[in-house]
Amino acid sequence: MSAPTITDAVADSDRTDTQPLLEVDSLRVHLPTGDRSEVEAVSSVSFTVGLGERVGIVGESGSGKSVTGRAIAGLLPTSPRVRVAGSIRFDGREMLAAPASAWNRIRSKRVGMIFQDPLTFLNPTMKVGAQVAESLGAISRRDRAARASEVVRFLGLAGLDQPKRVANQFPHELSGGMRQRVLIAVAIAKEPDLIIADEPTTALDATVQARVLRTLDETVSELGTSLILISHDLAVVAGMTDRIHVMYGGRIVESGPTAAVLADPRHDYTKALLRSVRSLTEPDVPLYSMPRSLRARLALERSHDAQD
Amino acid sequence: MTTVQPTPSPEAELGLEEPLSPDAGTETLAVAASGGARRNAAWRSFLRKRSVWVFLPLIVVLILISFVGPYFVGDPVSAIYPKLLPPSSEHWLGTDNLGRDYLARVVYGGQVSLIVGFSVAVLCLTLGLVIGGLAGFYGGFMDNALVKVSEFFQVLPGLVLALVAAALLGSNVVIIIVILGVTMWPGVARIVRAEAMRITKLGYVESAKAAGFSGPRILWSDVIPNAMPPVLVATTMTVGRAILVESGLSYLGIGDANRPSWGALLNSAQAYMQQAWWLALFPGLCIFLVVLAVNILGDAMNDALNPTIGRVK
Amino acid sequence: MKAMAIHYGRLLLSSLILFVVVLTVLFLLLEIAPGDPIQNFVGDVPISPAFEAQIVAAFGLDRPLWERYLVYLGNVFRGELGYSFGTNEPVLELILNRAGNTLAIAVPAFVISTTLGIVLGAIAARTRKRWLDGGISAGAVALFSVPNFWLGMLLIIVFSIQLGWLPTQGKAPYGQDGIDIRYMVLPVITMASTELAFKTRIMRSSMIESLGQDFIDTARSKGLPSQRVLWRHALPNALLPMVTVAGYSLGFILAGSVLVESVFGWPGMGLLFVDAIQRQDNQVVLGVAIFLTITILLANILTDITYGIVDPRLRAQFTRKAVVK
Repeated sequence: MSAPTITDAVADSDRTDTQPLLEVDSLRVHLPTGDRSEVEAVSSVSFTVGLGERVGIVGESGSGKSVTGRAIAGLLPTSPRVRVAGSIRFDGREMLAAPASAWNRIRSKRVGMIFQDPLTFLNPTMKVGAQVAESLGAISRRDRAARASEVVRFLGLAGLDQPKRVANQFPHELSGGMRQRVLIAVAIAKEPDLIIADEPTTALDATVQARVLRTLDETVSELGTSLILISHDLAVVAGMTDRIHVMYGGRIVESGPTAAVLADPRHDYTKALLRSVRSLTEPDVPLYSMPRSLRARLALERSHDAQD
Repeated sequence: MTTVQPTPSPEAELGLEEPLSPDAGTETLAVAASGGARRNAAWRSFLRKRSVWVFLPLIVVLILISFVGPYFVGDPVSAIYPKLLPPSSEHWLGTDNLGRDYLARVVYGGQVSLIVGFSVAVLCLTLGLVIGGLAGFYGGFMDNALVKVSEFFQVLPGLVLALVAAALLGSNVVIIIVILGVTMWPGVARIVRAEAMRITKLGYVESAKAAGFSGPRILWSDVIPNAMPPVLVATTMTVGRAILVESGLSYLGIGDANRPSWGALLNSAQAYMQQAWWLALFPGLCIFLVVLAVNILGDAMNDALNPTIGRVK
Repeated sequence: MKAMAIHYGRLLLSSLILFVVVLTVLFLLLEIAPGDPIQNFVGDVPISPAFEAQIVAAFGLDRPLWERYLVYLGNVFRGELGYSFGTNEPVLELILNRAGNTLAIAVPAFVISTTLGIVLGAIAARTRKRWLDGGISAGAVALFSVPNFWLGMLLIIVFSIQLGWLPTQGKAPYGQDGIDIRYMVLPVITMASTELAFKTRIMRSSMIESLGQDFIDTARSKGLPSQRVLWRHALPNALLPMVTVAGYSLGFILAGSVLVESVFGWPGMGLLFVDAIQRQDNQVVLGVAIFLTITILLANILTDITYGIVDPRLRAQFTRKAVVK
């Protein structure tokens, strides 16, 4: 475990050895969808992430997986119409009602996020090195040489070949894969306890995807950080996680150790998901899409839950 | 509505339909199908705004005053009253330097200003739809031409060109309308062009072509109707700008001497700022109120069409 | 480097073409103007038949259209903008004398409207207090809807006539040369007003859009304090479109000088233009229009250059090599 512990109240309070790093309990998120309407994007999601543990969240678009990830990092839109209920406990400390300063402390030192589209998620008018440097924690602002060498180190860790050169460039001068590695470097530069990766390879070409994923895998292993990997792509999640949660319609429909869930799915949705993936990847399996009856049943289940 | 758009099925509304095969057309069919629903939502959002309920009636009232008012007020031309009287219960807006009732003059002046403003907007809308629509739909030569024309008017400002033209060609109401229309249509045309380009890129224009509909037919019955909302916003703003430019022109003396608009009244008022502040106040106030109302309505229309959820991140 | 040369070469060429088109339009307007062409040329100055014959000979007014057009173009490019028969001065000299006065109020108006517009727009976009945003936005719409010359008149009535704080007309006390600062205040405010409203609105939406961009999420995910997110990430990106807006606004301000100078009797190009129109001194009228066009063209080129320097994406296009793979 290499994440340096920070000497502030957030880290030291209530921490025991068996306590999970992150506990999410009955999380509910309501998002506005128009002048007067809103939707419950996440309904009563609960899970935990332990130290060094890797958790995958799988679901299709609209399942609420990205919203969950952002809620944990406190990065939902700040409109007053966004409502969050439930509990998010980081190291035992309840974050949901915490002030912005507490969230900023968590985000600057303990939680790193890797986003989906490296083109739009990097500031186009700022050099790459400066953007990574903003993430650096312990080193003082004034020691420029040390900061520069740390930036280069993390860019190298993220798998970039010429980190010194890349640091001096602007995002638009790099390829997609390189930009995503920069985002990885931004996330790891603060040496976090937890990394949340939201569809980290979806915007990349297929060939580049595999390489970036491997880099992410190696980096996370090396640093021993916990990982929440969010994706719609089962293949991505399968290879890199210890446990997996399957989401549909804002709820977790199935959880368990990754290998077990994939080998022997319990919930019908997981079964259907696996079947459609296999129908795309294996030559003899006919093309499969989820039947209407299944979706209707899931919608019914959901409305029953909502009435609780 | 054309035959290209399918009616939305109940399943689609509930989100329970079977996933269609991956195809870019899916999104565009959905867009085309829900266009009506979105327009209704925008309309309702528009009607809910407080600013609309204040300023829409205001415009209506001002229009009524200008066109119905003349039956109720005195004669704007007969100089029979004492000169330069301040506002009073007899002369609500006072009298001017020739002894004419100012209320009458302001009311009649409104007719000219409003007629010019709305006529110019209609002219701009027509020209803009035709040329902007052709430019956005077909691209190529028309598109380049439109860009060049826009550049021309940026370099030689409309006001200056209008002044030169009016000085050389004469200045009755019709000429003013034509000149202003000519200088202001590129603004509307640009919006039409942008919308036409956007809509043309959506799949269903291609499917309409494949189904055998001719270019102009598609342009007229599909592209343009769907482009209207932002175009209407731009046209509304044009009314305001046209009124402002016309008042500037007539303030400088370019206008129909027999039918003075509000700007022309301001021209006469200039010399009497010292003694008779009301001569300057009221015509300008009317211009301000009309343009303000038009601009706020245009803004409200714009907001209704482009809802933003959650402003600051 | 080559890309840069090509880009600016094209820009200069299209500016030149645009200029010639403007000249042509102005020439044609003069041609189709009703009335006696000689009188159109000379203005409403009474002339004798002998003088008329002299004019025709000297300026080639009896030659065919094409020849006159080319002579006209040639004159303009040589800096020969004609002669004002009303004031007995060459047009170019007349304009240059007055241009300084116009710039004396146009430049401060430009600076004030740009800086204040940026500040107010950024505040309106960023603030959580809805009344502040609402107030600034409402103020902007109102200012936008006011005819700026009427605003000038009101300012004169309130501040000069009623309160006596500031002078009413002219650029300096009677008989005094140069420009007195007190005389500048109201004209500058009037000139800046419409553009201020415009820039505030644009800056506000640019800032809101910038704040909604994805990279703001990344910045927040680093736990950066919101001030830093605002100043270091949102603001620079919001300022980029403002460069172009500011560039165009110079043209609007100069065009507006026609009205503002009339209200205040400010002896600049605008007033010269208006006087010439009323006297039908068409050489001057065309001359000012041409001068204005050249100024705006130069401002546009300058804006383009500035934008190319300021936006890193364009900088790279011009100075560096291709994308590193």
